[in-house]
Amino acid sequence: MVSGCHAEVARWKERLAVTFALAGNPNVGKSSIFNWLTGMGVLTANYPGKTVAVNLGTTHFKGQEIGIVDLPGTYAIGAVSEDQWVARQALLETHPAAVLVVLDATRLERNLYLSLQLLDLGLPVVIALNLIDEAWRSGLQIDHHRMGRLLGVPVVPTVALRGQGLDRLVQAGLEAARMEGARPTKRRYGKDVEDAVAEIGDLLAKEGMALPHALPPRAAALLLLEEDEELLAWTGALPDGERILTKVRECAADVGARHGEPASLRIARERHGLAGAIASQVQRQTSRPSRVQDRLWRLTTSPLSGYLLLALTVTGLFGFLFSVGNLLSDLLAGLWQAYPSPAILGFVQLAFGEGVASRTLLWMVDGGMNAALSIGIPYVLVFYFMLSLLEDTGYLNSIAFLTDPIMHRLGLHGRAAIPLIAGGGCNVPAILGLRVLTTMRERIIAGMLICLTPCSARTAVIAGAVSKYIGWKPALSIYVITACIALFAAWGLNRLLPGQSAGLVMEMFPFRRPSLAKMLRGTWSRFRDFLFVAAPALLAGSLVLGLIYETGLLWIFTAPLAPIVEGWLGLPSVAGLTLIFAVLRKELALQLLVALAVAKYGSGVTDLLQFMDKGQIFTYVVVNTLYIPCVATVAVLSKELGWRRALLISAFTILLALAAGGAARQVLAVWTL
Amino acid sequence: MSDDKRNLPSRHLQRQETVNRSAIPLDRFKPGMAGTIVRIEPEEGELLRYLAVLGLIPQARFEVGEVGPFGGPVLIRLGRAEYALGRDVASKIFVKEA
Repeated sequence: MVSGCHAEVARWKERLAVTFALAGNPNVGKSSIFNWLTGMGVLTANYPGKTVAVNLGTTHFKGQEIGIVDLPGTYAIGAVSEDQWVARQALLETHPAAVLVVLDATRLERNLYLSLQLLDLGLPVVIALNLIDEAWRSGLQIDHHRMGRLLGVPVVPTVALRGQGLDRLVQAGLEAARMEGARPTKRRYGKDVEDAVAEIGDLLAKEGMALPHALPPRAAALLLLEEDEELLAWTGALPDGERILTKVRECAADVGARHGEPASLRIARERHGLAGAIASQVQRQTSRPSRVQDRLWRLTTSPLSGYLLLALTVTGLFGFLFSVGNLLSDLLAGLWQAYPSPAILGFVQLAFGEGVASRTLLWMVDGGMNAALSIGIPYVLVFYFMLSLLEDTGYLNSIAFLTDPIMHRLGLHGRAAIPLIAGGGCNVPAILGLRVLTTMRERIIAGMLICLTPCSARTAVIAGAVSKYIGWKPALSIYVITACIALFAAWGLNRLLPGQSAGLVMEMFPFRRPSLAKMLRGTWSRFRDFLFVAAPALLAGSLVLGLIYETGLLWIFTAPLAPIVEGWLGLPSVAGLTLIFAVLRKELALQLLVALAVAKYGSGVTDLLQFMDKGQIFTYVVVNTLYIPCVATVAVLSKELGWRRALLISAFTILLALAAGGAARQVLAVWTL
Repeated sequence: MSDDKRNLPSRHLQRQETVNRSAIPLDRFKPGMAGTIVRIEPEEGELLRYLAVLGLIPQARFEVGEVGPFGGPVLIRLGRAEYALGRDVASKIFVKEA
């Protein structure tokens, strides 16, 4: 199962003389260091079935090319959560020449736990004491020389945001890599734990065999005492395994009996104790920390001001997204139609004539490109920028805190709020944003909820058809109906899916002044995903639909769709055809409806009411709002959840849309609009 | 009779509290209260290990910063770090006031 990623990483590593791993807790500036060092050309490796990825990049230092494996941000290396498992696997499989551990200088105590764990694995560690400027500002002085002496590793203060200290960090990494073999694995914990470790370690060393991942005996012994599943399984498979495991159980029971808690917990406790002792020896509070942080916290999380601020933020978010998005969308569409579009038209007609082939191709290179431009850049890019702002300032934490109780009822937790809010702008970035959720169960529920959230394109149809021809109240009622259906579906899915929600355990990060450079980098790295996943799907989809339309194959669908469209939904057949095309872009439904109506009923038709009554328009928009979001959404959905789940969700939304549409028709037959 | 009925639960609670050295679930703590962790529901192995990594282990000292409205998370401060724990997680952590 692991070989897929392992092979990928091994191939990548092959041509590099030196490789470093970059480890650290979440939100300590690890990505900033990675981005600063590596720049463009980053590869992403996935473990099969795992949602957390490992980034691979290279950096050039004094004429040497160094590979950097960016591990997921974790609090520890283990198997407790998916990110920890991936970090552990990638770390042990790549055999890095040095591990650069990034520490948040303002939260030294907790951050040192991971450093100690990596040292316990016998890895060559170099510490980047990051956010040192923030520590100074909060009146915290850290003696990094002393810290280095206590830990026995180099400690380099850094300010990743400005690239300060990174040259020295890489230099220290190269020096640590050269000292390979001379690493002392010292006793650092209490006598009982260390005696148990020594006993098991001696036993393993006596067997004289190669330990997994070339671990030193002390590291393997500690992992066995910590009940590490991989090591336990490996030992169990040894010819003499049962004897060793019996010894491990004996030693663990001994530690447990002396301290009144399991050996694994005892080791965690002593590691925390040591981390705390080191932190208190090297740091000194020289002035009182400012109360601004606390005040901001209270303001953003207390019931009254918190929800008020949240409502304002969400309103502002959408206001910004729609105003700037619409502006950019019009601008780009205008520019596209003014210059590249006529040029492409001329070129395609010159090369392929004016036949079906040429017109089909134009659907892709002109229509598809136009769609990618008028959705992608204006809405997705703008949304990502706003997301980076929320993330960078730390306000995202407050949103998660406030929305957790609601999300909990749907089998999600607070961290799901952001992708869901994003869904109201565009489903594509929202689904890519599902990565903040750690379990597949949460991603499936949230993914389905997002698909049922009307995006800006569907809003355009609701506004352009219902609001324009029927009135704003029925338009609003479509949102209410959709929200009820979506919440009910999520509630049902939460009961149906096996397992239960993981519950919120989230570190609250301090508010920080956002950095424009960092925000732009964050925006770009997310936008890249849209560019390479959603945009090609949009172009391919345009080509297929173009073919169906231009060859006249389209009208073939009229007859088989008739029982559903005319019989069940009570809509004219052309309306059903436009619903097929709307999978490309939802607002296309409305434009095509008028175009096809002209084709069928003659050029006198200019407005929907000439061939559909109000009830039919309402039913049509309900169906359009609920079924499969669009090709681009399905593409990212299958990237994040796998194509089977993406197809299931798509099929489910179609059934839901037909059920709701049919129900709307029946209700409207009695209660006219 | 009715008085006895009313007294029963509190007497029962009192007895249990002596056994647990007055441990109550964390979600019953109020903002500003400080305490130490007594125990974490042992059947939650994964959670236990995840919390241990963060330093949430028996005898750890903490302070409650905020309790989210409408059954929202409990915000606790542990050393210099702060964590938001969902109510369901908090209900599995037994603490006593320090």
